Amino acid sequence: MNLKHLFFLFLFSTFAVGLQAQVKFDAKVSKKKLGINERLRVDFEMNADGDDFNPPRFENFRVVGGPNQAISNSYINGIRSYSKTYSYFLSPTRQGKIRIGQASIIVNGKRYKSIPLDVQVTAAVKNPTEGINPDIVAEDNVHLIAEISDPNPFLNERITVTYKLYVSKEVNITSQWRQLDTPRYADFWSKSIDAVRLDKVYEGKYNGEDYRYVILRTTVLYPQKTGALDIEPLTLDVPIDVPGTKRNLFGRVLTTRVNKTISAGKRTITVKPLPLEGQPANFGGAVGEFRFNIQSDKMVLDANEALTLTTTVSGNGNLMTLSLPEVKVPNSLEIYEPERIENIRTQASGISGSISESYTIVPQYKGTYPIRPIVFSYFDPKTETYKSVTSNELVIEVPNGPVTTEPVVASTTNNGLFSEEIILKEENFKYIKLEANLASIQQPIFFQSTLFWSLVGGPLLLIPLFIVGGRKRKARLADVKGNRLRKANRMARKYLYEAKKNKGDKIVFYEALERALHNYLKAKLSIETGEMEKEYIEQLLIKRQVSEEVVADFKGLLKSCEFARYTPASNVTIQQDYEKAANTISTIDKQIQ
Amino acid sequence: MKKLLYLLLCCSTLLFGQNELLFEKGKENYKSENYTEAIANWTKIVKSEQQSSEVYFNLGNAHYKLNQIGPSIYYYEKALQVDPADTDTKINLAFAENARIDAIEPLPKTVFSKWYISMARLFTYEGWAYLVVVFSMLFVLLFLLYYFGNSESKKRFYFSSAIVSVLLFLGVFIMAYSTFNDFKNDKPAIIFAISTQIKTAPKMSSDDAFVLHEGTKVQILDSDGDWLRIVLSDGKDGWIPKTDLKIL
Repeated sequence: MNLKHLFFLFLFSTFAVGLQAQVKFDAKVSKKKLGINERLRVDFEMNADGDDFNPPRFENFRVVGGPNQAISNSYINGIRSYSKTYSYFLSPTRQGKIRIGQASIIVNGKRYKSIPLDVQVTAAVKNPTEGINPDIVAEDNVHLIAEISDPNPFLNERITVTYKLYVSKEVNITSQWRQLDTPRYADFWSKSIDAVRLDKVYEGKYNGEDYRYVILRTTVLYPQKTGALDIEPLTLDVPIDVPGTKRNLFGRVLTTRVNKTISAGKRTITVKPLPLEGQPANFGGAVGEFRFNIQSDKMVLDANEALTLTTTVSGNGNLMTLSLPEVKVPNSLEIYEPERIENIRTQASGISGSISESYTIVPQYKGTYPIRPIVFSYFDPKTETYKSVTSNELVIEVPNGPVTTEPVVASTTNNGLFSEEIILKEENFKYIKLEANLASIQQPIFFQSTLFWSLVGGPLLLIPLFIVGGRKRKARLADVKGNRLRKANRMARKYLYEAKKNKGDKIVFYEALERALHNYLKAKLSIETGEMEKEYIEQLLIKRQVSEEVVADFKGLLKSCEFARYTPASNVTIQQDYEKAANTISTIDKQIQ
Repeated sequence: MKKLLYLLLCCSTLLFGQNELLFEKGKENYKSENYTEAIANWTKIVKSEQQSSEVYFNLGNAHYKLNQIGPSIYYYEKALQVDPADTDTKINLAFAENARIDAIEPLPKTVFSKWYISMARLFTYEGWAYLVVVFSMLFVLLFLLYYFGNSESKKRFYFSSAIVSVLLFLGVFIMAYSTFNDFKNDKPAIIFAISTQIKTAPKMSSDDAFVLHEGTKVQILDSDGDWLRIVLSDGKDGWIPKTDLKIL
């Protein structure tokens, strides 16, 4: 109940507002700029019936026609719209800026004034128009504009060209236009996005005047070359409805349709090269904002199984032209050509999405395979710097499989001893060694050292030495007599030494001394024991030019040896006899010849 | 003087003990999968001018576990320099080389050079030098036995074996000489940079020749300022900045 009341109240109030609609009183000119030989129409339009219309004085104009009064009254959906217009045709009398003054009118007892207007009057024009030539009107009121987001981009930086069709409120476009020339963007990667709904009309200003416009097309461009690049114009054939001055039977303004070719005009943009300073070595031409990662579907697998390694670049930028960094894997992993998967959306804001390359990898041998981090570099045009994204390191474990390939059949033709060493295929990774066995790093080099040469040469030198020694020994062995002599001499010395040792024991001493003397004689005179006759010895000694004195001494010694066995002898005589024997022997040695 | 000698002796034994300790520590670290620590400890040993194929092998293992392929291959190669016949090192080197990015096909070799290589791999030139000494002594001994031998059959046996040993002596001598020459001419290096551009001339502005990745073994031919001329086993050559590789 209450709600119903409220509803009625609302209805009434809106109606009241409708009745109380604001009074509008405007002055309009057919053109703001005209030649001195042209004419101008001024309309004073009001939406309410008023009295006492008072036109301005039109200084510097001559009134050619008017005032003409027109009233239109229409009901649309029960709403009344009313307009009353006073029109004047004016001809300027001087050049320059001329002001059309205020007109006034009284509506409901209230005086309304129009806003003064300025009109620019130029020198005489060639084809004076009365402001109603449809061709000229069409040209003046429809404009095709190419708006470039950035006329000075970096190489591969996204720019957009937006084609807008501006239509003034004077004219209308009611039928479809035709595209005469599609621009080709030779040095760009381009993608055009045609507006889906052309009925979306925006309000905008063109040269300071109110216009309506539609966005025909947005083209996303990625320059592929540096320097000044031209953008070819877009040319359209547009049918334009130009309202004429005549009206039909029902008071409607008759329109003339004019086909006009309009074009957006050629534009030039200057593409900056990417800065060389700070450019990473692995830079692959990516410009924009990106993320990069690398992933593997398996981290642990057996030899001869396959894994898929995927590198992905995602983000916003020239995804379709950039190259992904190549994956480097250890040589014993078999890697196949990557499959490139693009998932790209092109919008007016640029290209976004991701591209990825997936590699199929088959490990052949067991082991641990690190795949080193890959660096992806791109240029960020917003900050004008290079940025690098580093992927994480992947480690692929292959726990089962051979260590190396089986030996090639051909190598078995080599004989066993010298065949290439073959590491058994089923070997495992060996554990560390537990013994240090340390030695100094600065080991003296043995080869070619003095020790080496002497160890090699020494034995060789031994050969002649041994040979000479052997010969001598043989010669000596061959000499029987000499040998006997040498032996006797040796015996003599031996017994003499024995005698010296046994000075305390008389019997042993003299026995030894006698043997020593006998052996000495054997050695010196080469006689046998059987020939040991004192006289014969004496004879021989004298013959060998030993002095008789010495021979006598010798004989005396032999005699005392014989006697000593039976007679006691003091220690003194023993000592004397020993010294005598030594002296005699040495003397004989000197004298004997 | 004598005191100084003692001091030196003491120092060296102390150093030795310390390095043993470091080695043990590294083993513990490796066991508890603390590879970075293990590497630090073992590297200290190498820094103190001591080495062994075992230390290098363990360093290679620790780097492999950390997925550092370049250093891993470097240390395995180092271990093989000290002990060229170690199978464990060869196996683990094969693992590390599988994880290397570059696959370089070596130039085909003749049968003879293959023989030579497999022969030379048996010992280091020092090993060959010791063999030279052994065969020289053996020859002398056999020759003398022949020379002083008394029965005809023994003499014949000793003579022929002396001839064989002299041939062996010459053989190992040649091997020692040529492996020593190889050692002197061999200047291998391992690429340490993850990826490096090889140039055609020792200048940054010169043309690109090819790209190498970490762990690849190259031979150094020449040097010019901060650049080294390298050759690959497939015969390609070019210039590389010194900082991108490590000489073995």
